[in-house]
Amino acid sequence: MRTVDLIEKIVQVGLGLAVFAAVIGLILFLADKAPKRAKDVVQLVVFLAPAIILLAIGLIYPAIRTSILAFSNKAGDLIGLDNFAWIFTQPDAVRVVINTLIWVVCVPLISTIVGLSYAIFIDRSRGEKFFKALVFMPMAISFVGAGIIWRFLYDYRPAEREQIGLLNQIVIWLGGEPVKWLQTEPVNTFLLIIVMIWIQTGFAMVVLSASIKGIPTEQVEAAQLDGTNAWQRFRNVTLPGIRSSIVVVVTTISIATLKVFDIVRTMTAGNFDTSVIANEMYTQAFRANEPGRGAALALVLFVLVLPIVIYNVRVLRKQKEIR
Amino acid sequence: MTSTPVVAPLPTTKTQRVKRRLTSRGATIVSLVIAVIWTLPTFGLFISSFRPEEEIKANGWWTIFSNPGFTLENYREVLLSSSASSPQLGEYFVNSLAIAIPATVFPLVLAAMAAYAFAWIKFRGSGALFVFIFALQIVPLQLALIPLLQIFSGVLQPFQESVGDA
Repeated sequence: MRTVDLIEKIVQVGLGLAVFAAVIGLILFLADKAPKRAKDVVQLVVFLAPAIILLAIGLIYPAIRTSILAFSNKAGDLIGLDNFAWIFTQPDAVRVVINTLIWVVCVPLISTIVGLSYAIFIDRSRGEKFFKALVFMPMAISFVGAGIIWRFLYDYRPAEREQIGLLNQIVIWLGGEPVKWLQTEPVNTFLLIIVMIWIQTGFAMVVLSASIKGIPTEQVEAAQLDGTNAWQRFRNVTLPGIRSSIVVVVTTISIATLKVFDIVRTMTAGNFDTSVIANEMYTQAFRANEPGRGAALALVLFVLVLPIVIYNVRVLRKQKEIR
Repeated sequence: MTSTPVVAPLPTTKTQRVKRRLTSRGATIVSLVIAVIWTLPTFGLFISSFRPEEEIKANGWWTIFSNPGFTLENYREVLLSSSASSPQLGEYFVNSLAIAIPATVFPLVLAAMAAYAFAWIKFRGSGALFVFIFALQIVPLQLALIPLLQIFSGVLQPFQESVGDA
Protein backbone atom coordinates (compact mmCIF):
# COMPACT_ATOMS: atom_id res chain seq x y z
CA MET A 1 0.00 0.00 0.00
CA ARG A 2 1.36 3.38 -0.91
CA THR A 3 1.77 6.05 1.69
CA VAL A 4 -0.50 8.37 -0.30
CA ASP A 5 -3.40 5.90 -0.12
CA LEU A 6 -2.78 5.48 3.55
CA ILE A 7 -2.92 9.19 4.25
CA GLU A 8 -5.97 9.55 2.04
CA LYS A 9 -7.81 6.87 3.98
CA ILE A 10 -6.91 8.40 7.35
CA VAL A 11 -8.06 11.81 6.12
CA GLN A 12 -11.35 10.26 4.98
CA VAL A 13 -11.98 8.74 8.40
CA GLY A 14 -11.10 12.03 10.10
CA LEU A 15 -13.39 13.90 7.73
CA GLY A 16 -16.23 11.48 8.40
CA LEU A 17 -15.85 11.93 12.13
CA ALA A 18 -15.72 15.72 11.77
CA VAL A 19 -18.89 15.80 9.65
CA PHE A 20 -20.63 13.56 12.18
CA ALA A 21 -19.60 15.82 15.06
CA ALA A 22 -20.74 18.91 13.15
CA VAL A 23 -24.16 17.43 12.32
CA ILE A 24 -24.78 16.28 15.89
CA GLY A 25 -23.60 19.61 17.24
CA LEU A 26 -25.89 21.50 14.90
CA ILE A 27 -28.90 19.35 15.79
CA LEU A 28 -28.29 19.80 19.51
CA PHE A 29 -27.83 23.54 19.03
CA LEU A 30 -31.11 23.84 17.12
CA ALA A 31 -32.94 21.74 19.71
CA ASP A 32 -31.70 24.10 22.36
CA LYS A 33 -32.96 27.12 20.43
CA ALA A 34 -36.46 25.65 19.95
CA PRO A 35 -39.40 27.73 21.25
CA LYS A 36 -40.21 27.06 24.90
CA ARG A 37 -43.66 25.59 24.35
CA ALA A 38 -42.54 22.85 21.99
CA LYS A 39 -39.21 22.27 23.67
CA ASP A 40 -40.02 18.90 25.20
CA VAL A 41 -41.35 17.45 21.97
CA VAL A 42 -38.44 18.80 19.92
CA GLN A 43 -35.94 17.42 22.39
CA LEU A 44 -37.61 14.03 22.38
CA VAL A 45 -37.59 13.82 18.60
CA VAL A 46 -34.03 15.05 18.29
CA PHE A 47 -32.66 12.61 20.80
CA LEU A 48 -34.61 9.56 19.69
CA ALA A 49 -34.91 10.01 15.94
CA PRO A 50 -31.33 9.16 14.86
CA ALA A 51 -31.30 5.87 16.74
CA ILE A 52 -34.78 4.89 15.60
CA ILE A 53 -34.21 5.78 11.95
CA LEU A 54 -31.00 3.76 11.83
CA LEU A 55 -32.66 0.81 13.56
CA ALA A 56 -35.53 0.99 11.09
CA ILE A 57 -33.22 0.93 8.07
CA GLY A 58 -30.72 -1.54 9.46
CA LEU A 59 -32.87 -4.02 11.35
CA ILE A 60 -36.63 -3.58 11.12
CA TYR A 61 -36.89 -3.26 7.35
CA PRO A 62 -34.55 -6.22 6.68
CA ALA A 63 -36.41 -8.30 9.26
CA ILE A 64 -39.75 -7.64 7.55
CA ARG A 65 -38.29 -8.34 4.11
CA THR A 66 -36.87 -11.63 5.34
CA SER A 67 -40.16 -12.63 6.97
CA ILE A 68 -41.95 -12.22 3.66
CA LEU A 69 -39.18 -14.16 1.93
CA ALA A 70 -39.67 -17.06 4.34
CA PHE A 71 -43.11 -17.72 2.91
CA SER A 72 -42.09 -17.57 -0.73
CA ASN A 73 -40.19 -19.84 -3.11
CA LYS A 74 -37.22 -19.14 -5.37
CA ALA A 75 -39.35 -17.32 -7.93
CA GLY A 76 -40.87 -15.07 -5.28
CA ASP A 77 -44.39 -16.56 -5.20
CA LEU A 78 -46.01 -17.02 -1.84
CA ILE A 79 -46.10 -20.73 -0.99
CA GLY A 80 -47.25 -20.70 2.60
CA LEU A 81 -45.49 -22.94 5.08
CA ASP A 82 -43.54 -25.19 2.69
CA ASN A 83 -40.17 -23.82 3.79
CA PHE A 84 -40.99 -24.55 7.42
CA ALA A 85 -42.25 -28.00 6.51
CA TRP A 86 -38.83 -28.60 4.91
CA ILE A 87 -37.03 -27.57 8.11
CA PHE A 88 -39.00 -29.91 10.34
CA THR A 89 -39.25 -32.94 8.05
CA GLN A 90 -35.91 -33.29 6.22
CA PRO A 91 -33.49 -35.30 8.41
CA ASP A 92 -30.60 -32.96 7.52
CA ALA A 93 -32.56 -29.86 8.52
CA VAL A 94 -33.89 -31.47 11.70
CA ARG A 95 -30.30 -32.30 12.58
CA VAL A 96 -29.42 -28.61 12.22
CA VAL A 97 -32.13 -27.61 14.69
CA ILE A 98 -31.07 -30.31 17.17
CA ASN A 99 -27.43 -29.20 16.90
CA THR A 100 -28.45 -25.63 17.68
CA LEU A 101 -30.34 -26.81 20.75
CA ILE A 102 -27.28 -28.78 21.94
CA TRP A 103 -25.19 -25.63 21.49
CA VAL A 104 -27.55 -23.39 23.39
CA VAL A 105 -27.75 -25.80 26.33
CA CYS A 106 -24.01 -26.52 26.60
CA VAL A 107 -22.31 -23.18 25.95
CA PRO A 108 -24.11 -20.85 28.42
CA LEU A 109 -24.17 -23.50 31.14
CA ILE A 110 -20.52 -24.53 31.01
CA SER A 111 -19.06 -21.07 30.33
CA THR A 112 -21.00 -19.57 33.22
CA ILE A 113 -20.05 -22.34 35.64
CA VAL A 114 -16.37 -22.27 34.68
CA GLY A 115 -16.28 -18.47 34.57
CA LEU A 116 -18.01 -18.16 37.95
CA SER A 117 -15.82 -20.69 39.72
CA TYR A 118 -12.69 -19.16 38.23
CA ALA A 119 -13.83 -15.67 39.29
CA ILE A 120 -14.46 -16.89 42.84
CA PHE A 121 -11.22 -18.87 43.11
CA ILE A 122 -8.98 -16.02 41.98
CA ASP A 123 -10.98 -13.32 43.79
CA ARG A 124 -8.57 -11.17 45.83
CA SER A 125 -5.70 -13.57 45.26
CA ARG A 126 -2.22 -12.44 44.29
CA GLY A 127 -1.80 -11.79 40.57
CA GLU A 128 -5.57 -11.66 40.07
CA LYS A 129 -5.31 -9.25 37.16
CA PHE A 130 -2.83 -11.48 35.38
CA PHE A 131 -5.00 -14.59 35.82
CA LYS A 132 -8.03 -12.69 34.60
CA ALA A 133 -6.16 -11.52 31.51
CA LEU A 134 -5.24 -15.11 30.62
CA VAL A 135 -8.84 -16.30 30.54
CA PHE A 136 -10.17 -13.08 29.05
CA MET A 137 -7.72 -13.20 26.14
CA PRO A 138 -9.88 -15.43 23.89
CA MET A 139 -12.58 -12.74 24.03
CA ALA A 140 -10.19 -10.44 22.17
CA ILE A 141 -9.65 -12.99 19.40
CA SER A 142 -12.22 -12.98 16.63
CA PHE A 143 -14.36 -16.09 16.11
CA VAL A 144 -12.58 -16.75 12.84
CA GLY A 145 -9.18 -16.50 14.56
CA ALA A 146 -10.40 -18.84 17.29
CA GLY A 147 -11.57 -21.28 14.63
CA ILE A 148 -8.12 -21.31 13.06
CA ILE A 149 -6.36 -21.75 16.40
CA TRP A 150 -8.52 -24.71 17.32
CA ARG A 151 -8.36 -26.35 13.91
CA PHE A 152 -4.64 -26.38 14.47
CA LEU A 153 -5.23 -28.12 17.78
CA TYR A 154 -7.61 -30.74 16.31
CA ASP A 155 -5.38 -31.38 13.30
CA TYR A 156 -5.13 -34.98 12.10
CA ARG A 157 -2.18 -36.81 10.54
CA PRO A 158 -2.13 -40.55 9.71
CA ALA A 159 -0.75 -42.67 12.55
CA GLU A 160 2.59 -43.37 10.84
CA ARG A 161 3.41 -39.66 10.57
CA GLU A 162 4.23 -37.20 13.31
CA GLN A 163 1.16 -35.37 14.64
CA ILE A 164 0.96 -31.59 14.56
CA GLY A 165 -2.37 -31.34 16.41
CA LEU A 166 -1.99 -31.31 20.17
CA LEU A 167 -5.18 -33.29 20.84
CA ASN A 168 -4.11 -36.24 18.67
CA GLN A 169 -0.63 -36.10 20.16
CA ILE A 170 -2.13 -36.39 23.64
CA VAL A 171 -4.19 -39.37 22.46
CA ILE A 172 -1.00 -41.00 21.19
CA TRP A 173 0.86 -40.28 24.43
CA LEU A 174 -2.00 -42.06 26.19
CA GLY A 175 -1.52 -44.99 23.84
CA GLY A 176 -4.42 -44.41 21.44
CA GLU A 177 -4.84 -44.05 17.69
CA PRO A 178 -5.16 -40.58 16.08
CA VAL A 179 -8.74 -39.60 15.25
CA LYS A 180 -10.11 -37.37 12.48
CA TRP A 181 -11.78 -35.24 15.14
CA LEU A 182 -13.68 -32.78 12.98
CA GLN A 183 -15.06 -35.51 10.74
CA THR A 184 -16.13 -37.92 13.47
CA GLU A 185 -19.76 -37.51 14.33
CA PRO A 186 -21.09 -36.75 16.97
CA VAL A 187 -17.90 -35.72 18.81
CA ASN A 188 -17.18 -32.96 16.27
CA THR A 189 -20.17 -30.88 17.36
CA PHE A 190 -18.90 -30.91 20.93
CA LEU A 191 -15.40 -29.99 19.79
CA LEU A 192 -16.85 -26.91 18.09
CA ILE A 193 -18.84 -26.14 21.23
CA ILE A 194 -15.59 -26.18 23.23
CA VAL A 195 -14.29 -23.35 21.03
CA MET A 196 -17.34 -21.22 21.82
CA ILE A 197 -17.02 -22.02 25.55
CA TRP A 198 -13.36 -21.07 25.35
CA ILE A 199 -14.36 -17.64 24.03
CA GLN A 200 -17.39 -16.94 26.20
CA THR A 201 -15.93 -17.99 29.57
CA GLY A 202 -13.80 -14.84 29.64
CA PHE A 203 -16.89 -12.68 29.29
CA ALA A 204 -18.75 -14.56 32.04
CA MET A 205 -15.70 -14.39 34.30
CA VAL A 206 -15.13 -10.65 33.95
CA VAL A 207 -18.77 -9.66 34.49
CA LEU A 208 -19.29 -12.02 37.43
CA SER A 209 -16.00 -11.05 39.02
CA ALA A 210 -16.99 -7.38 38.97
CA SER A 211 -20.32 -8.35 40.48
CA ILE A 212 -18.70 -10.43 43.23
CA LYS A 213 -16.60 -7.44 44.21
CA GLY A 214 -19.84 -5.48 44.64
CA ILE A 215 -20.95 -7.70 47.51
CA PRO A 216 -20.30 -5.86 50.78
CA THR A 217 -17.44 -7.39 52.76
CA GLU A 218 -19.58 -7.03 55.90
CA GLN A 219 -22.04 -9.65 54.61
CA VAL A 220 -19.26 -12.15 53.96
CA GLU A 221 -17.73 -11.48 57.36
CA ALA A 222 -21.06 -11.79 59.14
CA ALA A 223 -21.57 -15.16 57.50
CA GLN A 224 -18.10 -16.19 58.61
CA LEU A 225 -18.86 -15.19 62.20
CA ASP A 226 -21.96 -17.37 62.00
CA GLY A 227 -19.65 -20.29 61.40
CA THR A 228 -20.55 -21.07 57.80
CA ASN A 229 -18.25 -22.99 55.51
CA ALA A 230 -17.14 -21.76 52.09
CA TRP A 231 -19.92 -23.57 50.21
CA GLN A 232 -22.66 -22.19 52.49
CA ARG A 233 -21.23 -18.69 52.11
CA PHE A 234 -21.29 -19.13 48.33
CA ARG A 235 -24.87 -20.47 48.33
CA ASN A 236 -26.35 -17.95 50.73
CA VAL A 237 -24.32 -14.76 50.35
CA THR A 238 -22.47 -14.67 47.03
CA LEU A 239 -25.09 -16.29 44.82
CA PRO A 240 -28.05 -14.08 45.84
CA GLY A 241 -25.77 -11.06 45.56
CA ILE A 242 -24.85 -11.72 41.95
CA ARG A 243 -28.14 -13.19 40.72
CA SER A 244 -29.00 -10.41 38.32
CA SER A 245 -25.49 -10.51 36.81
CA ILE A 246 -25.81 -14.25 36.26
CA VAL A 247 -29.09 -13.69 34.41
CA VAL A 248 -27.42 -11.10 32.18
CA VAL A 249 -24.44 -13.36 31.49
CA VAL A 250 -26.50 -16.46 30.72
CA THR A 251 -28.93 -14.65 28.44
CA THR A 252 -26.21 -12.74 26.58
CA ILE A 253 -24.22 -15.92 25.97
CA SER A 254 -27.37 -17.80 24.95
CA ILE A 255 -28.21 -15.22 22.31
CA ALA A 256 -24.64 -15.14 21.01
CA THR A 257 -24.67 -18.95 20.87
CA LEU A 258 -27.94 -19.13 18.97
CA LYS A 259 -26.47 -16.80 16.37
CA VAL A 260 -23.11 -18.61 16.18
CA PHE A 261 -21.90 -18.74 12.61
CA ASP A 262 -18.19 -18.01 12.17
CA ILE A 263 -16.88 -20.93 14.22
CA VAL A 264 -18.90 -23.53 12.35
CA ARG A 265 -18.21 -21.85 9.02
CA THR A 266 -14.43 -21.75 9.43
CA MET A 267 -13.95 -25.14 11.08
CA THR A 268 -16.25 -27.53 9.23
CA ALA A 269 -18.45 -25.29 7.05
CA GLY A 270 -21.37 -27.25 8.48
CA ASN A 271 -20.24 -30.56 6.96
CA PHE A 272 -20.18 -33.88 8.87
CA ASP A 273 -23.45 -33.09 10.68
CA THR A 274 -22.16 -30.05 12.55
CA SER A 275 -24.30 -27.34 10.96
CA VAL A 276 -26.26 -24.91 13.10
CA ILE A 277 -29.17 -22.67 12.13
CA ALA A 278 -27.17 -19.51 11.37
CA ASN A 279 -24.71 -21.45 9.23
CA GLU A 280 -27.43 -23.37 7.40
CA MET A 281 -29.22 -20.07 6.79
CA TYR A 282 -26.12 -18.80 4.99
CA THR A 283 -25.65 -22.06 3.08
CA GLN A 284 -29.25 -22.13 1.89
CA ALA A 285 -29.51 -18.44 1.03
CA PHE A 286 -26.12 -17.84 -0.61
CA ARG A 287 -24.80 -21.26 -1.67
CA ALA A 288 -27.85 -23.36 -2.51
CA ASN A 289 -29.75 -20.37 -3.93
CA GLU A 290 -32.79 -21.06 -1.72
CA PRO A 291 -33.38 -17.68 -0.06
CA GLY A 292 -36.83 -18.79 1.10
CA ARG A 293 -35.40 -21.63 3.15
CA GLY A 294 -32.67 -19.39 4.52
CA ALA A 295 -35.24 -16.83 5.60
CA ALA A 296 -37.40 -19.53 7.17
CA LEU A 297 -34.38 -20.68 9.19
CA ALA A 298 -33.83 -17.09 10.26
CA LEU A 299 -37.41 -16.93 11.50
CA VAL A 300 -36.94 -20.15 13.46
CA LEU A 301 -33.88 -18.58 15.04
CA PHE A 302 -35.96 -15.52 15.88
CA VAL A 303 -38.57 -17.71 17.59
CA LEU A 304 -35.86 -19.49 19.59
CA VAL A 305 -34.31 -16.24 20.81
CA LEU A 306 -37.67 -14.63 21.62
CA PRO A 307 -38.26 -16.29 25.02
CA ILE A 308 -34.76 -15.36 26.20
CA VAL A 309 -35.29 -11.71 25.32
CA ILE A 310 -38.74 -11.66 26.92
CA TYR A 311 -37.27 -13.10 30.10
CA ASN A 312 -34.52 -10.47 29.98
CA VAL A 313 -37.05 -7.69 29.58
CA ARG A 314 -39.10 -8.95 32.51
CA VAL A 315 -36.06 -9.04 34.77
CA LEU A 316 -35.20 -5.53 33.62
CA ARG A 317 -38.71 -4.32 34.44
CA LYS A 318 -38.63 -5.92 37.88
CA GLN A 319 -35.37 -4.18 38.71
CA LYS A 320 -36.91 -0.87 37.65
CA GLU A 321 -39.83 -1.45 40.02
CA ILE A 322 -37.51 -2.23 42.91
CA ARG A 323 -35.70 1.03 42.32
CA MET B 1 -24.37 -8.21 78.64
CA THR B 2 -22.97 -4.75 78.40
CA SER B 3 -21.74 -3.57 75.10
CA THR B 4 -18.06 -3.44 75.63
CA PRO B 5 -16.16 -2.56 72.50
CA VAL B 6 -14.47 -5.65 71.21
CA VAL B 7 -10.79 -4.99 70.86
CA ALA B 8 -10.09 -7.64 68.29
CA PRO B 9 -6.52 -7.95 67.16
CA LEU B 10 -6.44 -6.57 63.62
CA PRO B 11 -3.04 -7.41 62.25
CA THR B 12 -4.04 -6.74 58.66
CA THR B 13 -6.58 -4.71 56.74
CA LYS B 14 -10.07 -5.97 56.14
CA THR B 15 -9.57 -7.13 52.57
CA GLN B 16 -6.41 -9.00 53.39
CA ARG B 17 -8.16 -10.80 56.21
CA VAL B 18 -10.92 -12.01 53.94
CA LYS B 19 -8.41 -12.92 51.28
CA ARG B 20 -6.59 -15.31 53.54
CA ARG B 21 -9.77 -17.09 54.46
CA LEU B 22 -11.20 -17.40 50.96
CA THR B 23 -8.29 -18.89 49.06
CA SER B 24 -7.61 -22.55 49.60
CA ARG B 25 -5.14 -24.89 47.99
CA GLY B 26 -7.77 -26.78 45.98
CA ALA B 27 -9.12 -23.55 44.54
CA THR B 28 -5.63 -22.47 43.53
CA ILE B 29 -4.97 -25.74 41.71
CA VAL B 30 -8.31 -25.62 39.87
CA SER B 31 -7.79 -22.03 38.78
CA LEU B 32 -4.25 -22.81 37.61
CA VAL B 33 -5.57 -25.71 35.52
CA ILE B 34 -8.24 -23.49 33.98
CA ALA B 35 -5.68 -20.78 33.23
CA VAL B 36 -3.36 -23.27 31.51
CA ILE B 37 -6.12 -24.87 29.42
CA TRP B 38 -7.37 -21.46 28.34
CA THR B 39 -3.92 -20.21 27.38
CA LEU B 40 -2.50 -23.30 25.68
CA PRO B 41 -4.19 -22.97 22.25
CA THR B 42 -3.07 -19.36 21.81
CA PHE B 43 0.37 -20.18 23.17
CA GLY B 44 0.76 -22.93 20.55
CA LEU B 45 -0.12 -20.50 17.80
CA PHE B 46 2.32 -17.98 19.24
CA ILE B 47 5.19 -20.53 19.16
CA SER B 48 4.23 -21.60 15.66
CA SER B 49 4.39 -18.04 14.42
CA PHE B 50 8.17 -18.10 14.98
CA ARG B 51 8.74 -21.45 13.27
CA PRO B 52 9.62 -22.02 9.63
CA GLU B 53 6.75 -23.23 7.46
CA GLU B 54 8.14 -26.71 6.76
CA GLU B 55 8.68 -27.28 10.49
CA ILE B 56 5.08 -26.26 11.27
CA LYS B 57 3.79 -28.74 8.72
CA ALA B 58 6.14 -31.54 9.79
CA ASN B 59 5.85 -31.62 13.60
CA GLY B 60 4.02 -30.13 16.55
CA TRP B 61 4.98 -26.87 18.25
CA TRP B 62 5.65 -28.68 21.52
CA THR B 63 8.68 -30.34 19.88
CA ILE B 64 10.32 -26.93 19.48
CA PHE B 65 13.27 -28.04 21.61
CA SER B 66 13.98 -31.26 19.72
CA ASN B 67 13.30 -29.57 16.35
CA PRO B 68 14.81 -26.16 16.92
CA GLY B 69 14.05 -23.52 14.36
CA PHE B 70 13.44 -19.87 14.98
CA THR B 71 12.57 -17.38 12.30
CA LEU B 72 11.06 -13.95 11.94
CA GLU B 73 10.37 -14.67 8.27
CA ASN B 74 6.60 -15.08 8.86
CA TYR B 75 6.37 -11.65 10.45
CA ARG B 76 8.56 -10.06 7.80
CA GLU B 77 6.40 -11.56 5.06
CA VAL B 78 3.14 -10.43 6.64
CA LEU B 79 4.18 -6.96 7.79
CA LEU B 80 6.77 -5.67 5.36
CA SER B 81 6.63 -7.68 2.15
CA SER B 82 5.72 -5.62 -0.90
CA SER B 83 4.93 -8.46 -3.30
CA ALA B 84 1.34 -8.58 -4.49
CA SER B 85 0.71 -12.17 -3.39
CA SER B 86 1.58 -11.63 0.28
CA PRO B 87 -0.95 -10.24 2.76
CA GLN B 88 -0.78 -6.45 2.97
CA LEU B 89 -1.21 -6.26 6.70
CA GLY B 90 -0.52 -2.53 6.84
CA GLU B 91 -3.47 -1.87 4.56
CA TYR B 92 -5.70 -4.29 6.45
CA PHE B 93 -4.78 -2.59 9.68
CA VAL B 94 -5.77 0.83 8.37
CA ASN B 95 -9.02 -0.68 7.10
CA SER B 96 -9.69 -2.10 10.55
CA LEU B 97 -9.11 1.28 12.13
CA ALA B 98 -11.29 2.98 9.53
CA ILE B 99 -14.12 0.65 10.55
CA ALA B 100 -13.43 0.40 14.27
CA ILE B 101 -13.22 4.11 15.10
CA PRO B 102 -16.47 5.30 13.49
CA ALA B 103 -18.22 2.05 14.48
CA THR B 104 -17.40 2.86 18.10
CA VAL B 105 -17.98 6.60 18.09
CA PHE B 106 -21.25 6.77 16.11
CA PRO B 107 -23.31 4.21 18.06
CA LEU B 108 -21.92 5.55 21.33
CA VAL B 109 -23.11 9.10 20.62
CA LEU B 110 -26.45 8.09 19.11
CA ALA B 111 -27.16 5.58 21.88
CA ALA B 112 -26.22 8.12 24.55
CA MET B 113 -28.71 10.58 23.05
CA ALA B 114 -31.47 7.95 22.97
CA ALA B 115 -30.60 6.88 26.51
CA TYR B 116 -30.89 10.49 27.64
CA ALA B 117 -34.36 10.71 26.14
CA PHE B 118 -35.47 7.49 27.80
CA ALA B 119 -34.04 8.50 31.16
CA TRP B 120 -35.15 12.12 31.46
CA ILE B 121 -38.02 12.86 29.10
CA LYS B 122 -41.39 11.46 30.14
CA PHE B 123 -43.60 10.50 27.20
CA ARG B 124 -46.39 8.06 26.45
CA GLY B 125 -45.20 4.63 25.29
CA SER B 126 -41.68 5.20 26.54
CA GLY B 127 -41.56 1.80 28.25
CA ALA B 128 -42.94 -0.05 25.23
CA LEU B 129 -40.52 1.67 22.84
CA PHE B 130 -37.60 0.87 25.12
CA VAL B 131 -38.52 -2.80 25.27
CA PHE B 132 -39.00 -2.86 21.52
CA ILE B 133 -35.52 -1.45 20.82
CA PHE B 134 -34.01 -3.78 23.39
CA ALA B 135 -35.77 -6.73 21.80
CA LEU B 136 -34.32 -5.92 18.37
CA GLN B 137 -31.15 -7.74 19.38
CA ILE B 138 -32.97 -10.92 18.38
CA VAL B 139 -32.59 -10.10 14.70
CA PRO B 140 -29.58 -12.07 13.47
CA LEU B 141 -27.08 -9.91 11.61
CA GLN B 142 -26.85 -12.27 8.64
CA LEU B 143 -30.52 -11.65 8.04
CA ALA B 144 -29.99 -7.95 7.47
CA LEU B 145 -27.17 -8.33 4.96
CA ILE B 146 -29.11 -8.88 1.72
CA PRO B 147 -31.62 -6.02 2.16
CA LEU B 148 -28.79 -3.72 3.30
CA LEU B 149 -26.74 -4.56 0.21
CA GLN B 150 -29.79 -3.75 -1.91
CA ILE B 151 -30.14 -0.39 -0.17
CA PHE B 152 -26.47 0.40 -0.72
CA SER B 153 -26.48 -0.46 -4.41
CA GLY B 154 -29.98 0.78 -5.07
CA VAL B 155 -30.04 4.09 -3.17
CA LEU B 156 -26.59 5.21 -2.07
CA GLN B 157 -24.69 4.39 -5.25
CA PRO B 158 -26.97 6.32 -7.66
CA PHE B 159 -26.88 9.19 -5.19
CA GLN B 160 -23.09 9.12 -5.12
CA GLU B 161 -23.00 9.09 -8.93
CA SER B 162 -25.48 11.91 -9.20
CA VAL B 163 -23.27 14.19 -7.11
CA GLY B 164 -20.37 13.22 -9.35
CA ASP B 165 -18.32 11.20 -6.90
CA ALA B 166 -17.91 7.67 -8.21
